[in-house]
Amino acid sequence: MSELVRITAVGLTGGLLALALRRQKPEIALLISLITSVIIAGQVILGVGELTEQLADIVAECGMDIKYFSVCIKAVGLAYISQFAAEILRDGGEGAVASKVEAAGKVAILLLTMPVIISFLRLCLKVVNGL
Amino acid sequence: MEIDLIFQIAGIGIVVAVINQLLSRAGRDEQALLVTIAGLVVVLFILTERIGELFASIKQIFNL
Repeated sequence: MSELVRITAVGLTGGLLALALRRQKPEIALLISLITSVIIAGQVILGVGELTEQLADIVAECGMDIKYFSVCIKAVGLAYISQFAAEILRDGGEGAVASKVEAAGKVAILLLTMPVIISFLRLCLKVVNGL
Repeated sequence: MEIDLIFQIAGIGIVVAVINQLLSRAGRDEQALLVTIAGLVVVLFILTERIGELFASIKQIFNL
């Protein structure tokens, strides 16, 4: 609870400071919003780490292969990184670069999950051929 | 949480804006531009370290 209040306060402070400087120095305002999001994301990521540990425990108890779960977690991490950069860029008005960063993130996620998709398709093929 | 960083960067921004105004009023536009660039570089120096830390912790937590 107090953590949330603190994060809200940091976000409001950074946002208002960036707003105050936007007229005079838009590039510094962008950097202020960047550092604010870096600080907040650094705090949030700690909570995410705890969450994934607990989820991994329950997945292991279910008897599922941990390999698939870790692929999920990695995909979330990649999405987080690329989204982070893209939002900052879009804030600065560089929509073209932002969408390229997002596309790079999508390709990276697809590359990461491709082995799982391929093994699923192989299974499908085996079932179909067995009929 | 390091809220000092936000205040630090906002302070740099305000100082740079004021110096910029003074120099451009005095007719020294190229020096005003240099001050702006210097401020940006200083802020970027502070920022890159933090961004690197954030990405390192993301990598570690998501096992990338």
